[in-house]
Amino acid sequence: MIIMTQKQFEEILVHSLSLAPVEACGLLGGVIQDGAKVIKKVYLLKNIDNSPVHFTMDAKEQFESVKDMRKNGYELLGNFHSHPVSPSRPSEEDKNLAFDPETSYLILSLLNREKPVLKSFNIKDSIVGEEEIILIDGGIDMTKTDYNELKKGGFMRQVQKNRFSLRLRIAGGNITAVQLKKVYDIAKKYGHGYIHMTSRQSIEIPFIKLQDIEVVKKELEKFGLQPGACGPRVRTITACQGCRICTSGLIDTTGLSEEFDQRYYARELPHKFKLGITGCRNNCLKAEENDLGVKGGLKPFYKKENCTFCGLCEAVCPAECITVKADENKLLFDEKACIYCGKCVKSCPTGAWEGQNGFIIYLGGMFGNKIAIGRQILPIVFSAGEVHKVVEETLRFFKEYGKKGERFRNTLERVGWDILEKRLKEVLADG
Amino acid sequence: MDRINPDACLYITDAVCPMTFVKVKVEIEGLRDGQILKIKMNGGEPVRNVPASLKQEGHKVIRVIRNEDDTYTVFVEKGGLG
Repeated sequence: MIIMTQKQFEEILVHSLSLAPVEACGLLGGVIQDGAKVIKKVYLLKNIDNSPVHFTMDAKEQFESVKDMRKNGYELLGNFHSHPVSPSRPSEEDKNLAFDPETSYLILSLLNREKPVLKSFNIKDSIVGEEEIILIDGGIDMTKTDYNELKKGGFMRQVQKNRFSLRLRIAGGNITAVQLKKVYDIAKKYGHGYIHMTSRQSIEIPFIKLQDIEVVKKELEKFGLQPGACGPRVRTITACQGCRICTSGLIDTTGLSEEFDQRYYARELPHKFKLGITGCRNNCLKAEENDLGVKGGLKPFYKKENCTFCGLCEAVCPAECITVKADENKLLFDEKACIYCGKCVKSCPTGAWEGQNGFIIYLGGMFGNKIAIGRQILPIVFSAGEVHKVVEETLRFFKEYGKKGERFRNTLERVGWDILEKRLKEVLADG
Repeated sequence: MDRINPDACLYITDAVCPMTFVKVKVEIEGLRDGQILKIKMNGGEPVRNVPASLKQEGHKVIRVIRNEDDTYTVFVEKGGLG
């Protein structure tokens, strides 16, 4: 792998264009870092053949270049030449003249001048292998770096110059042990040997150097890890452990967080948008803090034939919506006051309470500069499909009505909750 | 309503979680299946959690009475859930 800056590429390009139709040539000095050839200096040399189909580097200039490399502590990593009117691949002559299998042979094709193609090859016994070239922005010349692009790609600019905190894409706060080990390796190798656990269940690796960004991305990719999202888009999907692990869990928060991640993660919106999923009324994941939060619930159904009127459900109900009259063998249930916590179902010794698991959705929460608690404007829904319909429609609404830089809650306050409520009820009614 | 005659009584109003259930568990171990334990406990967390734990262990709550002082008296049958 060859890593060179955009500026170095432009040096080669300008030199080659200025000499065309004669072939241009030169040498590349640099260092080997973690197996990648990092170009530090491009040496533009004279082609003493002065030919459109051959090149021979000026011997004196070659000697001067290598001397300069030694002085700077660089190695001779490779060379380049241009193909003014042919594609970027080694000619028979190029193959025959290639003497060092370790050297990179870069060929810049100017066949299409609007779209010059630079490729790198390793040649061993006339057998050609292509080598990847990664162009990075500057390294030293930071003026061209697009910070918004980097932020979008999960690289957060630090106080320290040219250092970035890399946020990872994680759904529901779960990461495999193998992936975690890779994170450990990267933090040690490219960072400062530690990680930061973000406020929303992601991991950041601070102190990544600008020039290492592409290499780090590639290393992560091999382990199914990606940089996370920041900026005006759907952010990390958070979730508690839910019913797969937790005895209180009423829904599969992990499964739903993975679905959310696949469908909505990093979707472009007017402002940041946070999705969080909590498994039950205990609300460990704080559903109402999110722009859209989901909470597991259990809608209870009373089966009188099983009831012994022991009074336990009345004692455990936090909403005080159950009254048991043991003397009269009577139970009163005020369903409107029920908060779907499921405690009656969980505690009933005789199966007189049964329940249907569902999803309670909260909209418009935010906990930053301004604080607002998400509101429930829809009745509990019972399938993940319905939840997705609500999320899709909510994101569509935000995209349509939200002003750039306006949080979802503020859009709702400005445009009107009733408009969203009507639209959500319509998509749910569509079946 | 029938009066329930307990085989043993336990007060856990001075205990906090998780000692509430630990005390119940120790007491109930001394009983035979079918025998009844009367437990007096505080409202709030104890009454929400202790009976649920009893259910998980296979014991059946047969009566819960709310007392004037916001404590609860819970009657439980050892092994009553089979």
